[in-house]
Amino acid sequence: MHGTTGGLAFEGVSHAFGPKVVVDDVTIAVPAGALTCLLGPSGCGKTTLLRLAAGLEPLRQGRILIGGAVVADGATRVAVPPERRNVGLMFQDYALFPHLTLRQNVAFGLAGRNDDRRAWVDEAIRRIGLDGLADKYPHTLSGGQQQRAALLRALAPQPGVLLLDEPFSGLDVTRRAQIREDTLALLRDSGVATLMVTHDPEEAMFMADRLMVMDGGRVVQAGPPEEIYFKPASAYVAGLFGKVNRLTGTARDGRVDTAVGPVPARGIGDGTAVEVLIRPEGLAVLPAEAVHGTPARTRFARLLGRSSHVHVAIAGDPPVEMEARVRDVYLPADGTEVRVELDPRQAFVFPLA
Amino acid sequence: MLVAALAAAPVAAIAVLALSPSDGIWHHLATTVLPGYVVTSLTLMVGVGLGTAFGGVATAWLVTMYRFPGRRVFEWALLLPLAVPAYVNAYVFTDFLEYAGPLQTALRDVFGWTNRQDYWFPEIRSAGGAIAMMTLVLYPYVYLLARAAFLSQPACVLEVSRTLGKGPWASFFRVALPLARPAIAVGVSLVLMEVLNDFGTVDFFAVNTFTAGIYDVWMNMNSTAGAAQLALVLLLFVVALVLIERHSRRDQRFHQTTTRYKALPTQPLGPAAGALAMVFCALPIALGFVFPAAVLGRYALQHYQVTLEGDFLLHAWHSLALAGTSALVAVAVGLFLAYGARLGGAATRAGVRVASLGYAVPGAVLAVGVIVPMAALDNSVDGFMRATFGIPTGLLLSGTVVAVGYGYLVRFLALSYGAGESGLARVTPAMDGAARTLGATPLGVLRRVHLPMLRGSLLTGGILVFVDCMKELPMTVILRPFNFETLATFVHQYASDELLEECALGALAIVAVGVLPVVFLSRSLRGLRPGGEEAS
Repeated sequence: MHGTTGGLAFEGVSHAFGPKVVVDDVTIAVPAGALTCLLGPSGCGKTTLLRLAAGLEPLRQGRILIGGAVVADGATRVAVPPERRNVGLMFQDYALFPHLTLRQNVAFGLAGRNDDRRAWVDEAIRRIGLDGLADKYPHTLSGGQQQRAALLRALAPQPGVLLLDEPFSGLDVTRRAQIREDTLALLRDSGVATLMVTHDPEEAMFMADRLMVMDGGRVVQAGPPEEIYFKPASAYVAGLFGKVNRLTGTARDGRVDTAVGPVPARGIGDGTAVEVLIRPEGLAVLPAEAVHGTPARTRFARLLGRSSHVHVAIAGDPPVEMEARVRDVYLPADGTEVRVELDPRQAFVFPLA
Repeated sequence: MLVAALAAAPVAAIAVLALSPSDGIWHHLATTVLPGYVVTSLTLMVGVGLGTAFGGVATAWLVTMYRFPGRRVFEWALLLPLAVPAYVNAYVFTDFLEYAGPLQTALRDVFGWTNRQDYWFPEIRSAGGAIAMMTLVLYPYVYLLARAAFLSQPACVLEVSRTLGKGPWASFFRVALPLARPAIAVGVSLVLMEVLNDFGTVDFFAVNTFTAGIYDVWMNMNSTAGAAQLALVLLLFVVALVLIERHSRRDQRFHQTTTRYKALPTQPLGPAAGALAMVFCALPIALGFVFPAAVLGRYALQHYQVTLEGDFLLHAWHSLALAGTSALVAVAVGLFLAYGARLGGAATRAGVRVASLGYAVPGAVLAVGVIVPMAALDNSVDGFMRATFGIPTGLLLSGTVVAVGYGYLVRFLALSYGAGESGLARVTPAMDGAARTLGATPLGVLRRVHLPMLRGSLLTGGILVFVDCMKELPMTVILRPFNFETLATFVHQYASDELLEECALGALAIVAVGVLPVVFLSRSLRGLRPGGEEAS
């Protein structure tokens, strides 16, 4: 188990709490030097995977390997205790030791008189801009400072694998973006294989080299973030990135006709009942004089900051109301005549079960 | 403020008395008995402190972190020894272990020994014996607070320590124990206050601690000033303890970095370790509760007729009436103080804090402090009446039940005040506001909001005071009127005369009453963990 090679692997891991299956036959490889992100709603089994990897939860079925060595095997009952797995785990609420100073917290995992690493601790505290606070107790630090301290503490013993459980959820929104960037830079420098768990799709997109979407204890799709975003494998994955407009229709000749025009439906048999998901940002709202698009009337417009949120009503039988997201300030009066144009890359068709 | 002054009066009286020029007995005391008192008291404190810290923390850790047969029962049963006053335990063990007791008799029979020279047996009536007796019944204080601390520790702090390369033992010593340290310190300091307060055990074992010394100087040397001087020295011990306790509590606020709780995962123990854990937890319960209760039960069954023929019922009535009245008054005064602290300014709050210090003051000290100003009051009233109306009133208050009640009130006020305060803390000012805007008058708010919310706490406070009054020995012995016996003094009297069998019923009654707060404590302990149900 050494340093940055090897990474972490789950092989056919299943886990249940009583009758409730929380992890169902999961196989994941987390390569060294990359950040893998598990994305899913709470209760989908992501945190359980982290706890299994750290050895805080006994493995029932499957195998877990760290740096190529088996650390847990449900069949042979091999279970390396957490303190000998060489993993770093950062909890959602950081779990800093309240009776130790920041420096003592960060140095907690260092064995004996390891002068190199102690120097590293001081250097790292300075680098993340907390050098004046090294002798302060955790309760005097802000949320962002605590987060950085917890991250450093996990990194200090040079773990083979770093596990992050919702590392940014405790921070207020205004600080989150900056801390996310700092964290990413720190992780890139250390080159440690990292598995991060989050329910925030934007965060996952930002952090991940590889994204895995979990649902009901299973990995339902894995790939680079842009692939997950533009080629969702299911309505569930497409719906993860925020609210979508849902329409139903029937596939014919490789496409579906909708109120806002045809949407390609490759590989779906004629006559199949389908669901069409259109992201709000996939609908462009154009002036009524435009040559493209479907005529519609605006119903309700609100400014969100960098974008505006507009409801449009499209006449028809039955009439359809849809939601569009428009960049910049766009606040038409209710009932303004407009045209709505669809970006087919942001529309997805799935057969109805 | 007046109440605070009343509560502080005894302590002030001691200081005045001790510092005023006296018959030179201080010099005599200081050169003869004082060093002995200091050494013995310190020995007891160190021994009992270490014993209770180890026993209390170890049992708390076991039942909190591990699963083994009987754990659920141990969780509350470990509190039971709290119901047994140390002196009762001492009587029972002495009865069992002394030369003429069943154990040594049996040993002699088995091995054919005929007299004391044939074998060695530890002398129970010694400082070591007193340490053992007190440890057995006092460790629940540490257990209670340590367990509460362990329960409120977020599980992830321990888990993070494991992932940082520390094994279970290292995690316990480097994380769990330091986190629980303030609670343990509070528990141990409570224990030490009880040790200083204890009179029955040390008197019975003829171990000369401060408390025993005060009684001795008072009753046998007839020197109020000398007793007061000793009491003042003892008080210094207590003040030191209180300061230490305050100091460790001060850290408490940074002992929560997380608001998220996860059910603490309990680990199953293997059969061997599980059996060991069971024995370890069962031992203090057996020795601190089951054994004394069983012995007393047997004696009580055999001798209840003799006991009942005596003045037992009268003693019991004295105890009940005195403890009941004191509890009622203490709850009323405590609630009054709690409202005072809530509504009043900084001065009131400071006064209230002084008033609730009585709990830390050993009973013997308080007794001295109560009797001196009372006697002075009586004398001046007597003098005034005699001079004005020619009617001698004699002693109106001192040596009466009122003196005992006043002593109880001063000593146990902290309990009822604490209960009232914690109850009031749950009534937020916003609730008052809400009730008022909904049309309730101030009195209506008291009746319809405060009272229902406070009822539980007040009941708890009252019961605690009641039970402590029932058990109280040193103050009662010193302050009671001539020939006035409560259950505690009756038991002490008979047991000292080696008549344990005949007073067993009384001791048993005290223990039975003592079980009451244990029930309350274990119930409130269960509600401690915000995460709800433990993982099964």
